[in-house]
Amino acid sequence: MAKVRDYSGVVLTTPVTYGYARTTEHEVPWYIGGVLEEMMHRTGITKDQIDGFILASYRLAPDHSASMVEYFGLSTRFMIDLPFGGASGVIAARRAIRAVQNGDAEVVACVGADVAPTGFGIGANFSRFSRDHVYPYGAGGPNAVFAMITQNYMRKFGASREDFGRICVAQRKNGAAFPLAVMRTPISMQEYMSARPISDPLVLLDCVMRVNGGEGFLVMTEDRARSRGLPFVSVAATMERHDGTMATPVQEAVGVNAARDAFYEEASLGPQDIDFVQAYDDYPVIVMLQLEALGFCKPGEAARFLRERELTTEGDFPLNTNGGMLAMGQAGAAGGFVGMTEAMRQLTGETLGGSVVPRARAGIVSCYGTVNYDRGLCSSAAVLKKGGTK
Amino acid sequence: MNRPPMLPPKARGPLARRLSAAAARGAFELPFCEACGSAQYPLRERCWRCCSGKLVWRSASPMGTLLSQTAIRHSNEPYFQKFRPVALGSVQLDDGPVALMLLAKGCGLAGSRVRILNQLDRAGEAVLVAAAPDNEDGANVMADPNREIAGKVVLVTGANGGIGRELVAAFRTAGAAEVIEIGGPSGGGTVQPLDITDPAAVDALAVQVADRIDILVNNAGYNANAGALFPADGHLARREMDVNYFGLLNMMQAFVPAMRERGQGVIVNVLSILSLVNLPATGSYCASKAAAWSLTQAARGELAPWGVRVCGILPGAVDTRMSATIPPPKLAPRQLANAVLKAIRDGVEDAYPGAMAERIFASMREDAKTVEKEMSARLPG
Repeated sequence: MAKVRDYSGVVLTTPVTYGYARTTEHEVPWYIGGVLEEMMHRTGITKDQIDGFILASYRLAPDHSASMVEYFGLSTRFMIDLPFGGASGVIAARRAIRAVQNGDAEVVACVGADVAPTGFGIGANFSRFSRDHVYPYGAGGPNAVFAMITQNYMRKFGASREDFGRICVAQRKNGAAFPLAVMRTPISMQEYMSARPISDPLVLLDCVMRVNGGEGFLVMTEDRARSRGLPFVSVAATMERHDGTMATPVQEAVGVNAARDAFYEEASLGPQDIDFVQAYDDYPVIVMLQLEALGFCKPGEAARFLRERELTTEGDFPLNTNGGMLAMGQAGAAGGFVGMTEAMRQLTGETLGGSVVPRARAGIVSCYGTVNYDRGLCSSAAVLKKGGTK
Repeated sequence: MNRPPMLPPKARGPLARRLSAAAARGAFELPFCEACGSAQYPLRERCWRCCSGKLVWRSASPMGTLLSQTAIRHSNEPYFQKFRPVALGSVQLDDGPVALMLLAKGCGLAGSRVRILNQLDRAGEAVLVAAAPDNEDGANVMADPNREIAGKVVLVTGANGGIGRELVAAFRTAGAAEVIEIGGPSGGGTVQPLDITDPAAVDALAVQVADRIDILVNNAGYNANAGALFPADGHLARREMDVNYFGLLNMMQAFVPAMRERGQGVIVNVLSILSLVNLPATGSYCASKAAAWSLTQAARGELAPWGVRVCGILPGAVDTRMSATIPPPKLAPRQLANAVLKAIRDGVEDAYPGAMAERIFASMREDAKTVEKEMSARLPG
């Protein structure tokens, strides 16, 4: 049994969602700098006080976090590049908390930022396995791989297209209220069912749009947040799992499944105590796999579980309360931070005019990413709790 | 010069090139771990199960079970736009790993057994294709025009020789729209005479027909059946090089521009397994065939971006008048002709028809020097 770990004394603050747009004339550093600028502007923290920097970006290459130190004139003593894509938001928080607890840094800026790839052959450099064994087959991106994961899930567990559509329709409704979402028009189930097919059974409305933008938050001691009057959330539990064991021939579970019991023990609460879930939503089937991994229902039962619940922010199972990436679009690796920043906003009340989960005290952020070949390898999750400093 | 045709993604790592090499001769091979026996896919340099670096490439089981599938209706890869929907499946190989592959028609639903083919795509790189176990149509799932024979216009040189006559008959039987028969300077019957060593004559023919040719079969050859250093007639070696190398070069130079212009076409060069190793009893012939083989490789590289496939046929001894002095076993000309058509349909780069060629090729891969020693030992006296 894993030892219960301690997150006390360190908090997450200042969720930033910056610059979301379908097109851009900018490069990735524009978005990184936009996030940093807003962090400093909102907190009064100066650049020389940011001594830790954690960065996730796909399209910053050939640059990386060290390049950004020079680009923005930073001087840090703790720095990490995260290559975990969609799983990077929670992992950034985990690493930053330990750094602050251990005295390696006092204020850590966690940033995910990307620009949308354009033109043909957009995935060609993602991984060795994809270059050799996926792109030559006509799958120019991950759609085909997730189509096969979805098809397998439907066949084995009896999920229908309407079950996936229910997630998409509810999230687009949530997104309609969030001012920073790129797609703010709600969709109907009829529109979902008749949407343009992309890779059977996936349709256009299952797939996130590639956009440009940045996300981020600050990690610091609770004392520092309180002394500056910053609204903050605390962390009750986290977990991550990077699973290359190919447990099933087609992906049917996300890796954090294996760490669930210790996760809730660490949080001193259970799924019944959770007020909302922000789950990585690159494709609706992956939302289902995460809900199963998080113990909201048994493996294979997510479709039935969701049929019995209302998934909008006002409903009995608020899911991706700002519309997730289905409404925000995916700004590359920043997509791994979308759930983090929105969960923080729900718990601090800084929802920017978006819809609010009433009396929310605890939420789960679940992340998933890095489709190297035929499945997502990385997953992570956190329980965030309401903190203080209104 | 026009623009090169749209081809599928060519980018591959060094390990995938090894898979392409197997596909080039129609084989499905994977690395297996010598320490724990595991088959490796996606391709790795070290074992997925035990991290051992002792991986050995060998034949993999060509069977698997379909796990899941999709029809890609939107692709970011431009080449695939005109082939949509692309049927893609996830297949568990009988050897263990899961592989994504193109699906031929009739693969059935998840749970179906499938046969796995390792084929070259239009870029000349390996792609795996799953077909129903009883599929006999070659599984040309991406409709590669260079793998079709029916309706095509074929030109065969050496058409009045033993192999040439069988080639002409085989292409006609397979539904070729037209087979243009080109023979030596004498010609005769339906065979048009041409001296392929005369560039002006070759060009004159090309001006008339090159625009129509889909498949060019360079079958004309000459063998003086003599050693290189003590020939009865010193001109014979020069004649071999003139026909087997410069004649081939003349034909390709004259006929290739039209194929390149159209972005498709097949060139089949009938060579010999002795292109790869010298049999001193016919030493100068082997040298000329080695030159022709090298030229085949050069043409393949130069033409690959233009969608033109170059196929080398490397048989052992064939039962014709030219090899009358060689003792059996020999491949029947009809068998060789069928092997040429199969090579086109399967889209391979190299074929080694017959037991003798297969054995020599396998030995060459094992240790080329041993084969050289074996050939030297066959000198008469």
